[in-house]
Amino acid sequence: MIQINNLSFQYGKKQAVFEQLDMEMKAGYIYGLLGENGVGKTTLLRLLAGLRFPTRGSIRVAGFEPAARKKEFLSQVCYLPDVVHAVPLSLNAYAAQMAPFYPDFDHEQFARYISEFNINPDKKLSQSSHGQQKKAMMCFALACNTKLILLDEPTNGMDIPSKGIFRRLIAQAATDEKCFVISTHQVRDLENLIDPIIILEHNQVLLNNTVEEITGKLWFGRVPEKSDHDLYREECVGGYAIVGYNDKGESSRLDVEMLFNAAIRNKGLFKRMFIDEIQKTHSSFADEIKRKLPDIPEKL
Amino acid sequence: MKTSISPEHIWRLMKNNAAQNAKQLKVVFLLVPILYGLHVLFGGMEGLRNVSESILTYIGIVSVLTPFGLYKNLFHPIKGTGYGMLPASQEEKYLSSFAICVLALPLALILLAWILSLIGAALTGASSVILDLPGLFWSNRTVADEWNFGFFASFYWKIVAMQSIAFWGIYFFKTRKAGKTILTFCCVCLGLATLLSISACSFSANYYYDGLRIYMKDVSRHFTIVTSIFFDILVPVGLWTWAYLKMKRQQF
Amino acid sequence: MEFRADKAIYEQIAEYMCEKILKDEWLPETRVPSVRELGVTLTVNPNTVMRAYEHLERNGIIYGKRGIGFLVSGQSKEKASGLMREDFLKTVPAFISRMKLLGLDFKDLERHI
Repeated sequence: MIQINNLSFQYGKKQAVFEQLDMEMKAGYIYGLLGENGVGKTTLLRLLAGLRFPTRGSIRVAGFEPAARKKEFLSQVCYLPDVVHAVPLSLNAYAAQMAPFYPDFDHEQFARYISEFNINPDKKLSQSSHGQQKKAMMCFALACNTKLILLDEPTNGMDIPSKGIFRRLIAQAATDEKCFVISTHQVRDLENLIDPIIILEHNQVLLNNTVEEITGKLWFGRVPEKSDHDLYREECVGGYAIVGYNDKGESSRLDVEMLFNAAIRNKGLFKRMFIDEIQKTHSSFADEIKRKLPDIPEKL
Repeated sequence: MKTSISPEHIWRLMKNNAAQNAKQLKVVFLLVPILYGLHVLFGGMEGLRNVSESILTYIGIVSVLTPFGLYKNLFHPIKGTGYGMLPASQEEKYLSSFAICVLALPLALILLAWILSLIGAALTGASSVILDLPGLFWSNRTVADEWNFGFFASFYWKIVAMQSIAFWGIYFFKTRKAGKTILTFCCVCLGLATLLSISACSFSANYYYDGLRIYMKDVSRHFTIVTSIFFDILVPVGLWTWAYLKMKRQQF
Repeated sequence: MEFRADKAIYEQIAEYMCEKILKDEWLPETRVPSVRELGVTLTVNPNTVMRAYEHLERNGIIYGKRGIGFLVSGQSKEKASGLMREDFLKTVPAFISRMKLLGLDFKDLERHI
């Protein structure tokens, strides 16, 4: 669904944000986009949305070039920025204005999301709190049923119950045709939902792999003694929590924060292990299911 | 390369913009009858006859500034993102803004003023009070005693031409559009004035012979025609085109 | 759903499904939720759920039928029990070493049965 080839981007004459970046994202997945501050996560989302143009290289989303801003492309993309602009309209009025432009907008889903988040759809958005505004725009974005959904820090500013509701709604909204790209620092809010995981670094991608691929190569857990082979370790009760090589081929539960810390401290290694060495054969989610479980029906 | 342009989308975009700026638009339209009212209050019958000058000035000023009022968030990195991502083609978005700024708003205001003048005429019985509608769209004034530009010298075209500067500004600048546009306009005027006065000085060399004075009259006549064509027609059309081209390259 | 930190999530989901089968909440030859349905229930990425289903299918606990979905297999109860026993017995060495650390023996355990 998304192909990024040789992408280079910089703001004016400043330092390049991306240089010759290659990346692919497929339909049917919920991608987590991680990276340190200033690494370019928001810029990447804006490039995918067509709000910014690449300096060099190409981006293709669902067969379109985002920078061309064609109507057919825009109707397949929903971008929710970190800072939401609150218009002086109620959510219902906003939807009445905007929904006709999205051919797959579902009013029933919209109503359901509004009630799940407990939002007053007749209150002016500009008079609501920041968290309420975000939830309101989230309802609209999910109800558009676009093929590509770009979320920049979606849980930022949400209260704790709302984060759980958000997780549930994302899980419900995800289908084989949609691709979610969620950029976040709050990995604990989204831990079990995001798969594959992308870790961006200045000018390079350190990781763009599924949890299965990651836990195939790395082991996460607690050990009584530390070792020089640990990629990252933190002290804990009874020893150390570590990220290490999965020599024994054991399965373990991936800890995204630990994974991130390990990646940042072993950039070259991660790039080699995950980007250079693993052949990118994973296809769309629908095709993966057909390949792994051939006896099951078309629509799950 | 054919891009789809749906009139429905253009109409929706216009309605959306009007709804988002409903308050300001209400004030703008309300001031028309208020102006009439004030003239009647303080001028009586005479006031009613003279109101067209102030109404037209008011309409002129409002029309020229319309783009700044209705599109100040265009291409704004935060406030303009929603509109930028709206699934309408760039052509549709451009045409909707063109339709509102160049056509809908000035014409609606003119229509309102004309209707009010009809009411005034009906109430006073004096038809001289009625706004000269055709006169706003066609002028018999000639340039250099020769060329009659007709529509392109009319009141309507003049305000729309002046407005094209603001229209260009909303597409060219991402933030603080009004201020930057006015600044640019002042600089360009200064630059042009300097250029013109330098070239005028070089013309006014020591030619006092009758024959040459007639030559100068020819040159100045051609010069006037050329500048009229340039400023009255080419510049607004050029600015509209520039705005369209800039829109496609504008980033958020 | 909250998951433990010491075990891969897909294995915990497989465990969850085995429990349902052992407790007779999911009966043989009945349909289990689809990958996406279970993902919504547990708020887990469908990739992870798919891994659990693969795991259970490989062990003969569920099977897929075109046009219907996944079904609980006939011998699921025995197989599920066997799988969970295997997993459970893996936790024994750690349990025993903790016992030794605390100086407990089996007589102390008997009091808690």
